[in-house]
Amino acid sequence: MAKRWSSVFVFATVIWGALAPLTWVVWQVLAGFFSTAEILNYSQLGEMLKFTLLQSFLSSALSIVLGGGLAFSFAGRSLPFRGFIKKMSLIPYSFPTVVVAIAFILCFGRSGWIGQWFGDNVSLMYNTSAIVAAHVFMNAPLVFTTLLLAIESLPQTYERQAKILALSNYSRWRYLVWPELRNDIWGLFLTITLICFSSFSIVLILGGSPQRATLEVGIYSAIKSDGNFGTASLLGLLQILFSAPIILLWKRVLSKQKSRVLSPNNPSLQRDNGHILKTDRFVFFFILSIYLSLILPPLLSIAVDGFRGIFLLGESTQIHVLVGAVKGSLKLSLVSSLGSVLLAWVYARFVIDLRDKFPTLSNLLQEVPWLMMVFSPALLGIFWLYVSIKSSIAVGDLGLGFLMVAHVMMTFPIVYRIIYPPLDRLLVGYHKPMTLLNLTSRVRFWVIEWHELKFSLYAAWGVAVAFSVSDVSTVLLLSGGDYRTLSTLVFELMGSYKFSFAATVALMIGIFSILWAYFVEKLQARQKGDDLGY
Amino acid sequence: MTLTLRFLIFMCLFFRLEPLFAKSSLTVYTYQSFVSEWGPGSELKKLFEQKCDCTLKFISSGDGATLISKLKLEGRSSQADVILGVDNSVLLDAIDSDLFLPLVPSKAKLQVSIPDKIRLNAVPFDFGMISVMYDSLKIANPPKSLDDLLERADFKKKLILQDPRFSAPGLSFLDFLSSTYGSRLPEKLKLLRNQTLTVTPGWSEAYSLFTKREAPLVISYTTSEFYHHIVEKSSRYRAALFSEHSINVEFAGVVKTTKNKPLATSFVDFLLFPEAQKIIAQANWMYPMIPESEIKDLNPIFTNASKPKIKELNFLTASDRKKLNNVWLSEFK
Repeated sequence: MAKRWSSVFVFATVIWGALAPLTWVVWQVLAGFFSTAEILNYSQLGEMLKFTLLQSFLSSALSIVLGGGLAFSFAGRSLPFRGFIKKMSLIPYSFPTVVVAIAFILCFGRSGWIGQWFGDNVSLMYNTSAIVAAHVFMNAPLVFTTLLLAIESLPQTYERQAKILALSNYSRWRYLVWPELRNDIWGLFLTITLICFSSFSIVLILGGSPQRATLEVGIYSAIKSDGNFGTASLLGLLQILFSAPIILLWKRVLSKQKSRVLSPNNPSLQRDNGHILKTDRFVFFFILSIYLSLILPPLLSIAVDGFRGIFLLGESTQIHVLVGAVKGSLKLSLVSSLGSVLLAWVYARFVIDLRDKFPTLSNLLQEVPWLMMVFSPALLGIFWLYVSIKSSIAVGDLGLGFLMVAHVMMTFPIVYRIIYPPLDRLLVGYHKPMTLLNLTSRVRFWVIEWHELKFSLYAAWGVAVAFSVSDVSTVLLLSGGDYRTLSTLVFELMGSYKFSFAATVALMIGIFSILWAYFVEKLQARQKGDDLGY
Repeated sequence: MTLTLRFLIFMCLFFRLEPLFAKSSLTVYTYQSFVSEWGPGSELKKLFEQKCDCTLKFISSGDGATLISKLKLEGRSSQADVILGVDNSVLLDAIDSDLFLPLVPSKAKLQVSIPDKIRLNAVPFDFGMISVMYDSLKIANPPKSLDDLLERADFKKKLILQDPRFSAPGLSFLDFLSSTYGSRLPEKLKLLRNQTLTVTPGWSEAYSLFTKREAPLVISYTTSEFYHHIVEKSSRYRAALFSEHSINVEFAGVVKTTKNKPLATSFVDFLLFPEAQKIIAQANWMYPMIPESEIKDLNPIFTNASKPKIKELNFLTASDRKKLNNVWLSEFK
């Protein structure tokens, strides 16, 4: 009975979490149209939408060209610093965006490491190029590492066939490589498009003008400048309408993707098998130098300036602020990620259990987490802000609670995608013995599920923590100014003459992110070669 | 000990219970720089807590319209007792929106004449003249007028501006432009756009980038120069003086939903006490609202510096503000 009630509660929570923000946004927009509330004028709206689409398209395309170009020319090539380049490439995409933004100012700003060489009359920052470059900095390494693994996993027979048939580079690409990798490339393109579509910190800090605002920044601005929920909701609705097709397409592409997990037990996947395309040495070094000159300087500037700032930290009376922010980040991320994992696990179980009796309903419910991916952090932020205001609960008292719930809802779709596949495989395999033994829910969890899936659950928890730690917009909207996390502290310090201190905090977050990504990867590897699906 | 038990103990340590018995407390919403490490917040808190035997809590948010917007959004659920740092460009909006409790105006002598309607709702606690701060190592010949600032080719992409939708000095500067140029404002904003390197949400972010030497010009107050002179012992950053400057007065008001009216009222009155005025002037880097001569041991720079000629104090209504912001947005979009 208890199990049934907990499942119904989780089911209702998830359905409410998916439908409530959507209904609220539509209702707010309609209320805005039929009332005297002033909605953003259409030309501003058009500009914002155009800019959001343009920067996300450019960022994705350039990330694919640079990261993909490097992966193809890098594969199978022996180099003195090969291992270093591969390992270094794991760093940028584990960085929260606010760290990337400060790294870019420290490096390419007028007084930055590289920016100062261009003199006082040239500015590399505060324009569309800076925003796109920062996005490429984060995402090109993701493309590089993912595609390199994919290329090196191509069957060795392809290369022999290409040699026997004396295929040109174009033919090799057209007939061997593209059919194998197109889903990976499209998957990466759509992933980056989605990330950049709702970009916040980078655009807000490096944009430099209201003309360069994404819909996400627009939502935040509408609330912060005059508490205009009508405008914010309209922008949110546009975001939903444009991100939904991208998510659908992404889902379709992901379903066709092959698992690329390297395992000694899988003989078809071999490392260092990347001679399928021959690239000119000059072209390779050209691409590599562009890649390194974009990636290395911001990483070095955040490392050096952040390290320098450590020595100023002892003199600073704001050390307690730092400790408070560390606690704030831990509180928020640990609790919300646990909530998210618990919700996703019970919901996944519920969906799987329903499949035998109600297959259509089960399939329908499986789509709900995908639906929830259309809600950006800022949109969830304004929705929960509205709920907190209307519930007449003192924002400061329960603001953290609302923030945690918003984070649970924000990370739930990702966590669900990690937990569902291994849980599904496990429950299918153990279905008969569990039914025969008539195991209780608790026994079933401790004896079977926890034993078999603990590393998947840890990994899902780790990913949720990483998302929560790096969030800025939801915290800024919901915290009411009296709650700090490490990411919002960087934001705050950049606005308080404290660039060195900000760099130090950014370095701390950066180091945490790298270690955390390493930890999650290790957990993933311990899950007996399971593809965790992210 | 099992992992789960260890984890539970760890979580309990994080969520330790707040003390059940505490002194009466006062929550003040203000802007970020007021409560920063160098701002007047901590000193004022110490001084007021000694007098009231209470706990004073500052919560920082954005400045200008953002503070008012936050209060409007929170409505009855707001925990604010006092709002501090609302300037003349947004104050009327707050009064018209019925956010403040009526006050008995203080008898203190003020340096700036404030209309009675305003004084019945809010307490003015400091003022400054909107100006452009410049880096004298980068700019040998500073702007001498608004025209100079907007038209000189050597200032192209050299100015850091604040977004008037969020920032009080940003809005005051826009109002300064509007009152100077009238119907020619749109064409002047086009010129301003050419001179602007970046637009930040608030004054703090803009001034941070300025001192980080991202650009040699920033919108601020003439008194910002005092900070560099006294604290940093540097004359590198200076205020550009024009023939006339726009004035910005900052106010504090008691929030209508406060459950702590006597304490909130005593706090806003306290802001005009000479010892509080001294802290505000020397840490917020604005002129004190009461005459300098009434403040003991005030740094002489405040009395010795010549005060530039000021334009008439202007209070903007919500619709004035919206109009100005729309003109600005249409030129900066």
